[in-house]
Amino acid sequence: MTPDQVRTPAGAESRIPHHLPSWGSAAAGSRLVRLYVASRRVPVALGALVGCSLVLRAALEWHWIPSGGPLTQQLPALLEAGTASVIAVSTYSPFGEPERATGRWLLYLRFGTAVALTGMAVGLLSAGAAATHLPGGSLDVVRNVAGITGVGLISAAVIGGRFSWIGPMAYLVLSEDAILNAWRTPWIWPTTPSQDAGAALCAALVFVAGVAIITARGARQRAAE
Amino acid sequence: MAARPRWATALASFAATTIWTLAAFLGCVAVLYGATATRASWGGPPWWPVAAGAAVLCAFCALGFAAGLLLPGRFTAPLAALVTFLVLIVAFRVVLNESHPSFALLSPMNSVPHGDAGVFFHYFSDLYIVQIMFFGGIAVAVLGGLGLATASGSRIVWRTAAVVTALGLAATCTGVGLAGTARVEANGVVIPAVHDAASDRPIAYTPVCQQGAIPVCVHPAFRAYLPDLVAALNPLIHQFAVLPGAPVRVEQVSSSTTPELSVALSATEIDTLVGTSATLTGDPPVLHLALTELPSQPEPPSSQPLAIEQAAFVDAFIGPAEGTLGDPAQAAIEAALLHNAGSLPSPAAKAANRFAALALDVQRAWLLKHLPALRSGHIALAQIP
Repeated sequence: MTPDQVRTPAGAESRIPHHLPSWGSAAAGSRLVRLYVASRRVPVALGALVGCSLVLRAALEWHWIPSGGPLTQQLPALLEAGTASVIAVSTYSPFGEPERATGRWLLYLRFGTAVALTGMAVGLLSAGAAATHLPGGSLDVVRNVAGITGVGLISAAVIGGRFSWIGPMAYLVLSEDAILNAWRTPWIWPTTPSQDAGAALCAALVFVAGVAIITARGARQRAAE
Repeated sequence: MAARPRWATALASFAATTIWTLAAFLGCVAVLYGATATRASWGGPPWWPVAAGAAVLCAFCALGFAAGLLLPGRFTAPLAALVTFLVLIVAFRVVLNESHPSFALLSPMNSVPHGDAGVFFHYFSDLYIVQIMFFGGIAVAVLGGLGLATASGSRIVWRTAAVVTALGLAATCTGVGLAGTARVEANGVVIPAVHDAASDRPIAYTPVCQQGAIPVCVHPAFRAYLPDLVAALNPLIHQFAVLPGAPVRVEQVSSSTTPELSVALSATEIDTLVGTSATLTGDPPVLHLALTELPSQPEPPSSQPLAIEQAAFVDAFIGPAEGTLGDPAQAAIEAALLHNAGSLPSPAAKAANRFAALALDVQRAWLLKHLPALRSGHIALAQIP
């Protein structure tokens, strides 16, 4: 079948733009970003991040987080893994990546979305804990969200965006077990204090690796998708 | 050929995914129970927690499945997993924080049982029965609700789904109502409507004893730890032998019958305080010792084997009665005898180090003279040599 053989309903042609804007223009760039953001459901992802922030606030207000002891990171780690799962899943597109047609723009779009959502997740969780005592403080939030998001982005590159939430959730299960059994390793950063340079380095490495791989390769497209 | 109702299709998909989940769960149970069976010397596997766990999984699978069917989207699966975790953790925190956490007890993550749970007394099935009722009811109600949402005009399907939903809701509400009557007691949670009074009686057993400096007896389930326990307690028994009130026998008792200072502590800190798991009573005195934290078998040796039991022994002998916290002088002497002064504040640590530096004969002579005053809290730190 050729494009000439495709029949379109009456009036459909009038909605097809006759003049493609030049990619150099700000309007075109803005439209591309808007379409990319919409196709990855970024607004819904932001809503989910706000939800995680509100749950953190509720947890602090109603004392679901102990002020001391080994279990202080149990619930914050859960919410951090939740935000990371949401960010990882936002790499999924049911239609593949039609933005490949834009060439180098796609790299910026992948990079910008991942980093911006991570920044917003950190900001929203920190805002949720504002004026209260969050064990570990904002430094813990930055390290944990960045690190677990890195796990999620690597999962997206390996198993696909749709199922990429499995990576952060599996890491969460590992972290919760480590918290309960008082295991300490820099690779399971939620179990270590925020001043631990080794854990911060590991989290940063995983985040950089995740962002790099998702920028360069994008989420894996599975045959079923 | 008539089209199959959407509800039937949905139920088939649900059954397929849930069977995989249950198979994974039962596989984990088989590994855990199998490994336990190779090391256990007494008793049998508790099946009620397995049944309750399966009911919980069915309920969460049903909720996640319904969410996926009614709100399809990329975020449904991760958010369903997140909410599941959240509910479990929050319920656990509520149980720890509140004095009467009746409804939070419905959570499968409602407590961390003691190491000797189900050994001296039956593990009460009350809460498991109510949990199965509650979570089974949720699963049935959600699946029935799916039928209502997808009935699309078929009156028979709609009526069947309505009946299923009503049955599920009835079971869930009954579970909630019964949980509201729950009492947390020393040996478990009692729910009067489903409680079997026969399970209140202690389980009969013949203790296993080993003659060290004095006889040390444990429950047969703890037989593997007896040589280590005797080895850990013998030096202390020898040191206390000539002192007034020294025990003539050590007997293991249930941790539910010994005083516990766990009120202000988190779940993993329970029993870490000295004096939480032993009492010295009777004439002649018998030390009743609870074994709640034990090294893993078959490799018990660690840097300080059975240190908690040693601490409990010393505290029961030196400290005040009923497991209450001792004064600084008692803490210093206990730390000196246990070579553990580092955990004390500075003045008490100095006194402990002074006493620990004395020869054993000098220590014993001082204790022989001052033990009654020390026990009754009439010795100051400065009086410790």
